[in-house]
Amino acid sequence: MTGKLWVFAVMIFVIAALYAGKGLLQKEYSSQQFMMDTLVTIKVYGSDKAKLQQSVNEAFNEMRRIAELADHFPAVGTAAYNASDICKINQNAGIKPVTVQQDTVEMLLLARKYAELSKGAFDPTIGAVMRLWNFGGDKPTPPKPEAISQMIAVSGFNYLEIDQQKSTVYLNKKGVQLDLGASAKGYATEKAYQLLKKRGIEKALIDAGGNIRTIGRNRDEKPWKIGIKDPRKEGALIAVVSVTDGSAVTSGDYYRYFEKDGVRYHHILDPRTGYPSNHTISATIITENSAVADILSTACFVLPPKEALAFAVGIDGVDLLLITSDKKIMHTPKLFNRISITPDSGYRYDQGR
Amino acid sequence: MTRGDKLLILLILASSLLSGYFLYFHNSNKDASHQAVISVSGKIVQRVSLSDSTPSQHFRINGKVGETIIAVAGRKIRVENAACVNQICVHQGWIERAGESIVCMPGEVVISIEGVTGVDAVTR
Repeated sequence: MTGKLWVFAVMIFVIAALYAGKGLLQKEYSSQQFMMDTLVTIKVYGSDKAKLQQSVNEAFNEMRRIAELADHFPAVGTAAYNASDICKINQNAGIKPVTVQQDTVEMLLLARKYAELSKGAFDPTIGAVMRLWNFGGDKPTPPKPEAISQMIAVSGFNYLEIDQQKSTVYLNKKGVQLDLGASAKGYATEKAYQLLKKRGIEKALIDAGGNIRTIGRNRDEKPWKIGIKDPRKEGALIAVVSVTDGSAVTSGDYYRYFEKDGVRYHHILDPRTGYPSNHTISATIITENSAVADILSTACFVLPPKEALAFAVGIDGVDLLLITSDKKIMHTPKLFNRISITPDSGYRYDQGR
Repeated sequence: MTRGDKLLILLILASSLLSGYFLYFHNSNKDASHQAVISVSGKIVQRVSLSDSTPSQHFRINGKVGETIIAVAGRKIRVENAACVNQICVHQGWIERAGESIVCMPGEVVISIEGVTGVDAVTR
């Protein structure tokens, strides 16, 4: 064999060895923390373990910072209460505008934008009605219709005034209360994503209790495969969707609910009626921004299925998969190329819808 | 055969062994066994292998708000009793598939089943 051929053969082997070793050189760092009433897992990949660990810690801190700003549960006078912009805004409803952090302004601008677009199917001012239902509390019970009507009278995004220049927020009617339960987690997840990007992370998955945000491609250099939970069967998936640099967020009726006299009351209320919305049992949004995905999954859960699909189609870069209460799977047409529906799942699937 | 040739043969042997080693490890990482991992506040406190021959058993875990009683039966695991108010973890019942998990928020107790799932994450 000539010298040149030898060199060529060696090069091929070295390249093969490096390629095979790539997966191993790519280290994974994963960490979990409890926050925002859920379990958050962040997984990152790269070659420098110390940098991975540092970035994940910073991402968690960023999420915690947003969680504190948006928390509306703490009791008056506690440290958590004083740290929360939302508590301050709620306390000053009908009294005066409150100076808040830039992130609170951005969170509320986004929430108001989609509240307007969805004509109130999503509404961040639903706090008084949510409090009345008391879903997280001890022995919740359905409120009386008169009480719901009273609280609906103090709900509506028109009561929310945001002054971007002054960084102030004002609820201009007494009794109106903000509740960012359907949007803060998505916003916090997006901030964690931005931080990881800024630190140069090229491969990551953030799982905030089922709100998924990804960076780049998965470990095998393929789009991330995100399963969509079967809303009625524990551990089963209804579909798998491919996501690269994007989010998948689901709103479902199956996690937070209570039963009273044989009736199930779940926590996703139609802000226009004050009652749990029952056309749909699961709505998954697939889009780039996790904050938008979180808000739209709630809006599309509340809207009647056909309206929800038309609404999602009308927003650039947004896809939707719905499971209706009569067990039908529907999705936006663009999703067709990157979704595989589980066969024989017991749901009816109208292809191409 | 010159000395250079012998050196090259050695190099080739070394690089193929190396690639075989990496390939083996890369694949074996994906093949984690079917076991439940139980953690409290992010720290792993117990691992239980789940197979058809796993005997039925109960054990206690001290979560953040008190005691959690966990039951194992063959390939399945569940929270039988928990000190939390909402009892979401208890209502969830048995889990048995890789990728499934039970999370008790107040107790910060997580039971998750490891193994090959075919997906990177689940939106729910």
